[in-house]
Amino acid sequence: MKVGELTITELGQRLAFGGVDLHVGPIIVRLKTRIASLVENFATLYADYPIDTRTGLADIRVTIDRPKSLRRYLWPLSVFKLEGRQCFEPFALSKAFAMFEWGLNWSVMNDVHWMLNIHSAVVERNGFCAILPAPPGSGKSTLCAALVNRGWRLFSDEMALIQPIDGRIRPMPRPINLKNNAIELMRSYAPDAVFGPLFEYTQKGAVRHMRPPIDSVERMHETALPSWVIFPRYEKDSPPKLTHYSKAQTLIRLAQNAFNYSILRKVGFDTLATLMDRCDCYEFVYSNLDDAVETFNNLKPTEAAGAVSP
Amino acid sequence: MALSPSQNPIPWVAAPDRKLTWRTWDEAETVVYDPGSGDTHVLDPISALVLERLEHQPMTRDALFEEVGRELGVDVDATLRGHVDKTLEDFDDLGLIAQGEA
Repeated sequence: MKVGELTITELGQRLAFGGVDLHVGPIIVRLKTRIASLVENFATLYADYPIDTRTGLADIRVTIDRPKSLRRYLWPLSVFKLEGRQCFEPFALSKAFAMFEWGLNWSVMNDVHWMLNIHSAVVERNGFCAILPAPPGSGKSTLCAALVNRGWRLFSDEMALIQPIDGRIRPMPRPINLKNNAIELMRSYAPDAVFGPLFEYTQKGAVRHMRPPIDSVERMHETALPSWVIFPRYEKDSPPKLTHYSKAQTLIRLAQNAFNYSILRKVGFDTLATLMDRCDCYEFVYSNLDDAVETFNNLKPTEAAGAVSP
Repeated sequence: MALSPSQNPIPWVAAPDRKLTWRTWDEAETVVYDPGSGDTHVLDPISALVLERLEHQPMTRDALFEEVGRELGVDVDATLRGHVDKTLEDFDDLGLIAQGEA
């Protein structure tokens, strides 16, 4: 059963009583909430996601509700709890969905250590993944959103989850988090895409989520090998420029961008080293999204990632 | 004038307890993982050569100058000595090498 097959009333009842166990790639997330706006936003942005009705087991259990204190009568707030523990300061009630998304990222970063987790977008085409690590403000999510609206499959706009045992990447497609100028840019670039509400005045400015393409959600259990690591950087008026980058320096930058490299220790190093064996590494400067997509479409997969020579 | 640690004639040797893991790409890009500290280091070709030689046997700095010069096919001059001395100091600070017999 998918979230979108429930009426909003049925979904609200499930979320309020017992919660909904949602398949999000390799993990099952249980969400409980009685907040009407969160139910509504969740219904929109997670409509294509399957609900787990068989196991009753969830990897991450999240509750978001109004605080019990008297403050709630003065300020409409929401509280994020992981495994029953409050993790952050209360958030504006109207922005509960944004808090769910950030809190879920935080939960995965802190709890999922059976895979190497790198702060990065990941997209896939023809069976090969491109990893796009970059700091906030570099245009990573915007480029990722453009690519998945032009034929690439969304693995994640936030984290690359790499299995140490075979180096394959696990998809964890979630709504793409667009910020500030990227919001209007993407609304005109992908007019058919479904967007959630606009959350203004957050710590990261204005935020709006884009629903992932249905194909990415339906293939959330289909892993792929990485073939490229590309550090993107938006630069006004720049032509697209793809420059080879050192594998050793790439490994160091990925280690610095990984949430659990120091926890996995040698397993983390071996996973990154194998990734470098498979991938071509680049720095990429761009300003125009169509040019950027064309550059990505022209990438040749490496033989080390399984590509067959012509 | 006292000799700095790197100039001391006592041989250098790779720390035997570190069990470094090496990876090299294109014969020029090397990274090593140090399980003792959990740190990962990028090595330039000269640094990689110095550490690799010291993993195999203790060597004095003079012997390392000769070895690096021979491997690179260059004269042992002040620039090469300076680079090797700085490499030895850095590795010493990181605990990757020490002075004395293995």
